[in-house]
Amino acid sequence: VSHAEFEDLCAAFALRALDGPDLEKLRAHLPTCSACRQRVAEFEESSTWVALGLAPVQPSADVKSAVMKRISGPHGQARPASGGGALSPLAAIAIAVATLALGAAAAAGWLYLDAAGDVRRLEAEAAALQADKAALELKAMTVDVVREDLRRAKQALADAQAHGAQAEADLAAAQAELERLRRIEALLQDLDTQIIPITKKLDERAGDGQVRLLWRGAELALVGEGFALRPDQTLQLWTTLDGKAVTSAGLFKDLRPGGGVVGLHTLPGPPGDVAAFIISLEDADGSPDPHAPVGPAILISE
Amino acid sequence: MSALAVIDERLLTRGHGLAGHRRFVRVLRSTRGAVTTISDAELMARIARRDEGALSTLYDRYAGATLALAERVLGDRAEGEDVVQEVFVRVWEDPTRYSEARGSVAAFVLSAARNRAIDRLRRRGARERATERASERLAKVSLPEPVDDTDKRVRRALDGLPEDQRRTIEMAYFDGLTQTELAQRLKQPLGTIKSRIRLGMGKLRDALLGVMEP
Repeated sequence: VSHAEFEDLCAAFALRALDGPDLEKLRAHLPTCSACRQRVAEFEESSTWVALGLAPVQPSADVKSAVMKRISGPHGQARPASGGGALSPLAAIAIAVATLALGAAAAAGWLYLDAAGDVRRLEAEAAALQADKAALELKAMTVDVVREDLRRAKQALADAQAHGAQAEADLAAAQAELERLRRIEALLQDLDTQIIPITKKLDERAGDGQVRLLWRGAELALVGEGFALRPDQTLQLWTTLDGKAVTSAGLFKDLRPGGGVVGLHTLPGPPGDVAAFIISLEDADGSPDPHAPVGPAILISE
Repeated sequence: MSALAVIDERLLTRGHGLAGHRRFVRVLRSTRGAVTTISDAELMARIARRDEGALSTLYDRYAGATLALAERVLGDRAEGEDVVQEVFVRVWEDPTRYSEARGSVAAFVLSAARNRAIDRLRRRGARERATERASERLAKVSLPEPVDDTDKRVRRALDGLPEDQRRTIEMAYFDGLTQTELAQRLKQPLGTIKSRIRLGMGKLRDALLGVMEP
């Protein structure tokens, strides 16, 4: 899922309308993405205006009384209102009377003024702490954003390095293949190179396949064509030395449909001892025995 | 209590609600160049310090909008008032759930009310009936006249939505229907419902972001 797709899900998530796999995907994504969390918060904020488009309906007075009673109970831990709160007229009068009484007492001493000073100081400290809290929350959000960008930058660097390593490996393989084909081309152009057809069928599974062997000294290059191999099959070249021992001279790798250059090998023994070349049909990794074909021998040199 | 705060309180308690409060803020800004009334965020800070007068003021500001929302979702006045009571008691019990950095107090209170109302709706298993009622109300709802610039921007944004987007968003918001349920209810492909929500909400966000007061 791309990031843009996650962004598309945020609106429905803020409405609580998201369900199914989309919901699971976004729930897993949100803890890791501050941008999407911010987007959800913005949608939640703007969705509120759908409700504010309704005409207000004032609750009965009993509802507010019940709320104030519940918060003033033993578990509510309320304290009397400060100057900015909303009080009923009766409560305001009661507080005014109490204040007058306290003021009269305070006129004789310093206790009230000192207490009022403490209240102002504590309120100032609380306001400062509130400002600190807001600043810290803003800082935390900023850290989230920066950390997310850092994580993305690291991922991009790792991707680039991985891509670069793969590109280097591909380049090395291409250079090796080019070198191999140049050697085969040189072998083909050399007048001393013998071209030996291996065409005598030993098994029907050879089909119309033919192999030509380019042979110069100890170097062998193989060109094959006309074979119908399955992906799990390969051809293997064998040499019979001094008419007895049989040794693998290599697998036909990367045999393309319709034929092509399939291998460049070095003879396992002195060229003069080679009596014949044999081609066998083997599994993809070749015969497990280096001195004997396991699959059927299908072609032999005349 | 300052004289200005008393005026603001009277506007609220005489039934003017949030609109009255916003108009009061606007008048103050135009005549004094500075706002001396208590902000929502400051009220929350005072509530955190156990100031019940601050909760009383917050109640006066948002109880009307909260009940309108809860009644719209539940289709029942008494149950809506239960939600109002639960929301404001909960604000008192745990004011730290509000974070100024994450949004406005209005959004905090109304989101809490909506979540509670929809939870009740889902629990009582009457979504079918409520949806039918809500769908009927959609055609009958009569919105109040806008009183200030913010109200007008809200109204313009809502009115500016294509009918199908507005209807889909309102059914999701007020009836608590998921995208899949909306697709079934409106007999539209799921992809169409997703597009309506994405486009409509995007327009609301673009039009309304940052206009919350005070």
